[in-house]
Amino acid sequence: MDATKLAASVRSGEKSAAEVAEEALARIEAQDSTINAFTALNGELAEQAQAIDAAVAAGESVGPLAGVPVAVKDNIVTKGLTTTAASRMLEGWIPPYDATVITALVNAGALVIGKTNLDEYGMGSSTENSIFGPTKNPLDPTKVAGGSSGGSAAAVASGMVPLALGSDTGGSTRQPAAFCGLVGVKPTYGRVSRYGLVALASSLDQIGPMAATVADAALLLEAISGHDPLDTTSYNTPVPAFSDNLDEGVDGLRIGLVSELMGQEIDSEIVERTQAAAQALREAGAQVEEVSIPSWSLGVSVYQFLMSGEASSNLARLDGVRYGLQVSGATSAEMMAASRSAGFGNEVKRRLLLGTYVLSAGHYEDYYEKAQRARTLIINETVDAFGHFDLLLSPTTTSVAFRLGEDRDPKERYISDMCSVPANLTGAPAVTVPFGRNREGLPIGVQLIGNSYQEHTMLVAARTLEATNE
Amino acid sequence: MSYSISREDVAKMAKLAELRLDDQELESFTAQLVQTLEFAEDLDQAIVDPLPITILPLEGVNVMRPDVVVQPLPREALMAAAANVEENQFRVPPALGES
Repeated sequence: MDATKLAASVRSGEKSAAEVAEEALARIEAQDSTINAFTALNGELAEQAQAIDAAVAAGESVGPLAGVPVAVKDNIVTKGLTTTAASRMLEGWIPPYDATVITALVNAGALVIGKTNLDEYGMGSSTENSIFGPTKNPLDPTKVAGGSSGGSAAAVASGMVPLALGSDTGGSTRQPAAFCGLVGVKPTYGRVSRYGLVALASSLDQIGPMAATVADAALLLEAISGHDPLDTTSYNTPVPAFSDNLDEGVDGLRIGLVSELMGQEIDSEIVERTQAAAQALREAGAQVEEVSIPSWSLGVSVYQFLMSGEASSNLARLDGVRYGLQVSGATSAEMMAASRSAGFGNEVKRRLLLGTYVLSAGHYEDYYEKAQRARTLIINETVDAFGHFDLLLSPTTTSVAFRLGEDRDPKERYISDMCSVPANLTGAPAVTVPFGRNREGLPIGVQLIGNSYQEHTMLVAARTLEATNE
Repeated sequence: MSYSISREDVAKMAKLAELRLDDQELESFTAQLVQTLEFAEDLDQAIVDPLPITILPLEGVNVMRPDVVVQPLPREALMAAAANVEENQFRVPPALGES
């Protein structure tokens, strides 16, 4: 059952939240030993479900997500429930506070059922770089679930839960959603509070919803959006009703098909499906034309330097003193180095080295600052494009889900982010929606990118594509 | 301009990033970073006009919150997550000395 209907049935008393929780836990019990989506389960779920049922019985308002189980990526802090970022460094850490999105979920009546697997600190695109081991793609367990929010994607795609939260720094909600045949949203930068998100790259990170349908993703986005005084970069603007009027159609919308993301780097079957999506939108009344945004081909290069620089700064807080792993040393410096060396995996170390280098005296201007200037170029050209178009259309990924354990060199892996990073660099909202499968039967996602704070227009177009598949 | 990094540079970065690397790790990370730094060549070709830097994709946001006292997180709960606490303070090895 989808989240929208599930919440309605709990609100009406047709189904109890306690039953919903028990059923979800039974599905996890049955499936997760194979999929490995969850890193921890909420031990207080039964009490929380009973509280919702008591509120329903008392005739109180219980919120738009009443009794809906939501899985939460394990880099979003949860009071009293372990938050590890899939890192040895934070293994067993129990935060003393909730992220703002968790408070928002609870206020909306949702049940935070547990935490989901990821690439350590969000650094990766396969959910293989994790102390919990890899998450498998429920549609083909020989394939990755994508990443870094692979646990969240697999939890929804397997039907264990109807909704999940991921985080997206360079495509980490959209790529796993595409690999698992789901809808995944990267909201506008500032739309959703980052307070309580274990920071990877603060100028790029956003928390976003993952769901089986556009309507469910919109409902979850609505619940978590809004200004938060605890996040100075959260935008103080009213939150529209994202889940209303999703079927209003795309008649008259101007949509640009981004030619830089339709080249030879992209799997030919994905290019075909994206062309088919363009045609479906034309048939639904939109004007779809090709648009060239030349600087988008720089996205991966810019992203590498900015993301690693910001990550090296953010992860400096993990020093073994206040929380996390501490390995003994004769001096504080030795203790910190021993703790960080034992606590971080190889991919994290590699990015910390790169980030430290691009920020260091003598190299800063050549790498980090140059990337910041190129980011301005990307933003300027994107603003120009939105002067002519309401939405941009592209593939979500360069490939479908790849094999678990596949040997891919770092450069190849970074290039695979080329379709997703422009939205993070510009701050624009983006959504992936499933649009067919390849010859092997693996799902293909197409991406719609909106102008800043225009998520609803983007979701309406995604819903139009979803409807053509039904 | 050529973009690269030496094994000595990587060793220096490891020290700055508070990481210990063995010889094999130094070798492997140097090779990987050399590959990644080549991405900078793309930027040289693209940036022909002077451009300002972008720090955040948002513009014109007032980051000040109302000056209202809020309840901080309880000290005990925060200290409970530390590996080594003594008399309600974080205990660390001496900060001065050889490292």
